[in-house]
Amino acid sequence: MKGDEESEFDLEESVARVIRRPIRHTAVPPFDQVRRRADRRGPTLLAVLSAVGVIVLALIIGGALAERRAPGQSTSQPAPTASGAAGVVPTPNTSPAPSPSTTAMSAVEAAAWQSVRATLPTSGPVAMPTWLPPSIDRTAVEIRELTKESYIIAYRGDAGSVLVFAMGSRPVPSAETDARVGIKLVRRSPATLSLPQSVFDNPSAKAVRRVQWQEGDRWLRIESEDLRGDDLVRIAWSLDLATAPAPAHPLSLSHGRAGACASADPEATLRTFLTLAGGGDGDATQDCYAVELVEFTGPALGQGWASRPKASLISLERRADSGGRAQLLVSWAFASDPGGAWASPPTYFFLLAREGAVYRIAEMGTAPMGPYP
Amino acid sequence: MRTDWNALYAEQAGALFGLLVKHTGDREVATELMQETFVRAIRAGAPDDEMSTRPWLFRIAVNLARDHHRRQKLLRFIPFTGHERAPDLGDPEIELVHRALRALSPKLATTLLLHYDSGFSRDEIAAMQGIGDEAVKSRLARGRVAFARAFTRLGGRL
Repeated sequence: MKGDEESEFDLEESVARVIRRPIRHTAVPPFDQVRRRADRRGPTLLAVLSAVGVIVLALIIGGALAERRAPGQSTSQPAPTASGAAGVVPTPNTSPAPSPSTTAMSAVEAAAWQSVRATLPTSGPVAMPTWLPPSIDRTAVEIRELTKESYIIAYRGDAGSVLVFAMGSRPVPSAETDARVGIKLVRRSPATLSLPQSVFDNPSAKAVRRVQWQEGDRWLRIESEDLRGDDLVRIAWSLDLATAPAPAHPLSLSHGRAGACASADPEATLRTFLTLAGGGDGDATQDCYAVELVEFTGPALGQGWASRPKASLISLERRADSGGRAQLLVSWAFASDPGGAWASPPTYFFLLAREGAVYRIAEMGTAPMGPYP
Repeated sequence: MRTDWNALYAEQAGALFGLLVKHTGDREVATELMQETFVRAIRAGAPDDEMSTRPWLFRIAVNLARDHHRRQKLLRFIPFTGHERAPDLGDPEIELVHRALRALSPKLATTLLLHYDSGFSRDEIAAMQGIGDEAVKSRLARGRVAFARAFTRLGGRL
């Protein structure tokens, strides 16, 4: 026993000595530099008032348009109101465009989310769906758990299927054998899709697929034994953003180069992206990328591409959509050696998200992304 | 209490920079995060209790480092950002410490750094991380073993 203690003591001494190794050249910038950054003023009052004016105008126009679109809608459905306050149904606040396969929120569903909002503290993350597959019955909604710290909301669907939205203080561990796929950003946070091995052999297998992510000290998840992973991802990517974390790098494309790259046609966005290589215009390149991605990674995104050699398209091929996003396989040639570890010719899969009326790059990789079983 | 930020910066900037270099493995990033720590602290206003100012500053720093690692995880999938350069610490020993820490979970690495590098007590770390003293003790014990394994596997000598 004494030997164990001595050995533990030796280990602690050794680890402490190694970790404590001093850093060489610790010269730090002068304090004035930090002070200037801290004192840098935020948006002017005029800008804030203008922004508020634009939002109010958008709400008025949006309301008028909604009335024009749905003149016969039942008056029993609660009208969307401002989010955040207890007892109020959060207004869906999300960028993806409406999908033809989505279904409208029911009064029962609205009431369930209203209860969640009213029970949680104001800062509690409520991740409410704006898109659900038609197989889910939006009138069959059940609150399985609701405390100030957590909630579980279950939807029922065709053939007894169940879809769960949950929030709590701990993550739900995946089985060791589950495949875990990073699906990038859900409500501005990195998320993981876990898929049991059985669904790769049989996509109809009844096995829990789960999208899970963290917001502050809370863990949120969407899971189902019945829906395909791709549907869960699509639900996750279209969640209401009302209580999502604030962007790390807020971006207003209206002050940048909106329209320099993004297009209503995903292929056109990619073609423009390639023409912008080597152009030295990082702001234009940035318009190719999804706002959520720029807001997460920072304004440097796209700058590297603008300083690459010129690129010419070799091939562009539409592949299966994933999570409701367009997927393209693109190959190109650089006019000169770009350095680094680029394949020759570079060939990438791009996933483009619809933001308002245009498509922007949300993800890219050397292997196809989804569709997930 | 009116905080003398200039004095606080002079006292703590070097130590914060050291912790962030070991945490991030990149001197430029560490410099940026150290400055951002103070920017956020100045904007938020220091706690009234002078004793708690130092842990508060370090908590901001490790949270920023954690956010940085999350972004890096995402950036690994995005080869067009201009961030492709390999960071150069200019110090093979510290590079080894960083690589061994990266082999640990972020919670274990942060706890080890706060305790052994920055000199915080278990109680202080418990308060900073919102966990119990036993949890800190456990993280330190597991962290030491995991760090020692990773460090020697990478060629370091304890």
